[in-house]
Amino acid sequence: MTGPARSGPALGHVLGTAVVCLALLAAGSWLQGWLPDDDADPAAEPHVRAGGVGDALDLRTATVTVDEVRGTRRVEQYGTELVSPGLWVVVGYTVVPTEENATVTFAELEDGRGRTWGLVGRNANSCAESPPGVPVRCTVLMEVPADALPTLRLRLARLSRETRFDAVAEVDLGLTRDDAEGFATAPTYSVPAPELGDPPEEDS
Amino acid sequence: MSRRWLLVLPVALVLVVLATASRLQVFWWPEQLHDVTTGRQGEALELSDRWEDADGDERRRDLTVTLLDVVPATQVEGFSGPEPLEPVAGTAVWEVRLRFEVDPDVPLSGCLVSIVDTDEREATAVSTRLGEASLPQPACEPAGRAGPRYDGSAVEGDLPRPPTYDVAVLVVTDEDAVPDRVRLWWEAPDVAELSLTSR
Repeated sequence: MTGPARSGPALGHVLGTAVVCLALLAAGSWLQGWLPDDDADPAAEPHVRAGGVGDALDLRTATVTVDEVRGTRRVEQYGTELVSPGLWVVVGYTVVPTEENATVTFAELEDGRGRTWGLVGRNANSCAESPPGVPVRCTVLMEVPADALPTLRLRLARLSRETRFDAVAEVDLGLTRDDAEGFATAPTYSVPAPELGDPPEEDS
Repeated sequence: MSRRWLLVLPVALVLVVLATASRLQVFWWPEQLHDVTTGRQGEALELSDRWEDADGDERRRDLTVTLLDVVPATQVEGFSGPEPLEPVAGTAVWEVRLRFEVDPDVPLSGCLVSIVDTDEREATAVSTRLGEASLPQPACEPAGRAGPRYDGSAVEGDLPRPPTYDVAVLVVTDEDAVPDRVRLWWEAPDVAELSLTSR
């Protein structure tokens, strides 16, 4: 007795479907590893404005310029001398707000090995809120090991609690190994208070 | 058939934008000074200002404020009385004179005052050091005669606040700034905006 001929999908069709399914699963698995996880938020990354010492960097709400970079083992702030087992890197910078009062409260150093130093411990950022168009001269001081100096970059931004979506200035401090040796024997540096207004004109 | 679905795409995009915009309403808009009451220098402006108490309940205070004048400041109150204000390069200091008419039982601490210049830049009064001078935090109550705190308690040692009084708030601006109007507020979204008649 012979039954009716089977009308199911051809073997080739089944195999093709299986291959497509496997390819989709593989693609999905690959995407799973490639896409950001729940904690990552690449869209919120700060907008980095890179430059060097003396460059005016636009942070949208203010312009920031690193004016000078110093180093020493001893700094004096509020009448207290602070001696570092490494080196104090002292950066003087100027903030000029654009449309409304602004200041800089986020500061971070990073070296070429990815090590970062923030405003913790004795590290400090001395800055003040300034009205639009009025420069305020600020100082950030952080202690780092001497071997970090040649690759140090300083990051400055508006808010210490939140840099997501915001503009961040990243300044190559341009320091060298020779600077590290010079800083080790530099005299005590007295950290100035923030100052509003145009900088004093230098005698020519 | 598939082309018809393309027509749905703009609708979907609009829906996505609207759904995202709800975050503006929740997180951004309430913090903006968008409920503006405008007035002019020399004219008494009636304000109804909303604020939130410690329990999260909305409260309201009614007051009348008059912008008397905005003049270059020449002195600042020091520890032993008024001290001359030395000019600092690149800056100007303005004295914003305001008259308040308000019930002595209404809390008024924590006010903010700013000057908007003709370039639309807004300089807000803050406590700061300018040269050798220390500029005080803006206050909308007379010294030594503050009204109640927000919890209703009285400030120890202070006399009762009079129902009508004048205050002077110091505001630092860029030396080239030309004041156009003064803004006064406590909590967003209410703000009073007082134009200078000399403009």
